[in-house]
Amino acid sequence: QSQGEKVNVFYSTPSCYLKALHDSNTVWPTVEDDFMPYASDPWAYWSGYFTSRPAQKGYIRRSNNFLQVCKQLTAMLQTER
Amino acid sequence: RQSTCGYEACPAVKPGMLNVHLVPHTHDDVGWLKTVDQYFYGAKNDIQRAGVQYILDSVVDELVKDPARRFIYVETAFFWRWYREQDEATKATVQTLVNEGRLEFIGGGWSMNDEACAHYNAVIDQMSLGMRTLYDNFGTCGIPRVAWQIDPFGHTKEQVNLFAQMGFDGLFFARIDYDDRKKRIEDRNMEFVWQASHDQGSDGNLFTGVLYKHYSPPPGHCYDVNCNDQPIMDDSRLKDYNVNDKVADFIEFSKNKSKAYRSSHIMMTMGDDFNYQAAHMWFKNLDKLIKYVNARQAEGET
Repeated sequence: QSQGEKVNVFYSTPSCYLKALHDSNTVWPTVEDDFMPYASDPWAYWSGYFTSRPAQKGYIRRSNNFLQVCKQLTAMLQTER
Repeated sequence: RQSTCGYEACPAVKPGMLNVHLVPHTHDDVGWLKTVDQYFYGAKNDIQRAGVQYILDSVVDELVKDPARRFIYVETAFFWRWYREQDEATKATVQTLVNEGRLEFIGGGWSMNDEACAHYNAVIDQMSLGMRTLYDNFGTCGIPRVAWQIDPFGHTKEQVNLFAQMGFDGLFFARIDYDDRKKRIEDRNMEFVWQASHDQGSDGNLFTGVLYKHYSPPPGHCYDVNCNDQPIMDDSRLKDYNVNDKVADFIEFSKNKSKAYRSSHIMMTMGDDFNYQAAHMWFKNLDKLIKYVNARQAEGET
């Protein structure tokens, strides 16, 4: 085996890969800031979608408010019963 | 009933070697060019050839054939649509696959949410809905350990802070700034501990990995029904025998890729958008790839 390729390939999952990294006792660098904005190429910054379809973005925020109200009222009704 | 899901179900690795983790996956957008239900049924395939019901049908068939095979599934909105229409025998089969770690849920939210425009409240709700659905059907073996944001266009601290506090052990994604990627590959900084919260301290820390080339397979090794790469043709009596070329190409790519990472492990995402509608094509060729690459360990270079 010493003269062969030192490559071992097998079926795995992201969590098993993560376990293998954990077991490898590697020292990792750290990151504190975020990964915004995203640019895939020069002159191709994906920041347009921060504001695209403003009406739908507004509906989604309002729907979230309504949902929280519904959940709170449902919880109150259940506790009073 | 005994369960061996999670980290205990992981395959053995070989010390002193470059360990290449093949991760079969399908990226299933919960609505994009088609609606969520069109994607589920495979309607309007003239827009995009994609039917998630067929993906889950055929993946389960292929996983049953060989206990070494693995598959990850991410979008619970699709999985819920599929699972509730299965008969009891199929549900029992899926539960066995999950309990043995052969089918693993990754991410696990109702969808893979955007990080730029989503409110944190809504992120928690959609993650809770997906996780609750998985837990109700599969118990603790259904709970993902790894977050999977392979397609969102940029990534935010608050998302990672939330993931850390939801109990995830790690996160993987693909899209970072092209210049940042170049520098991180040079400096071997593709994997790191993301300290995402000033207030939470280490409770907001999460191990994070950046994928090498988007979330696609290595060039030349897409074996999906939607791909055009050559299959592995391994009968030397037939025309276009290509095992040596295929294996050499895969090993070269693996070695180059490993230069960007710090450990002796790399992860190969073997799949792409709405892949595995005919899972047999993928698994048949991956079985051969594993067999012939590992055969080089004993033979030596020729």
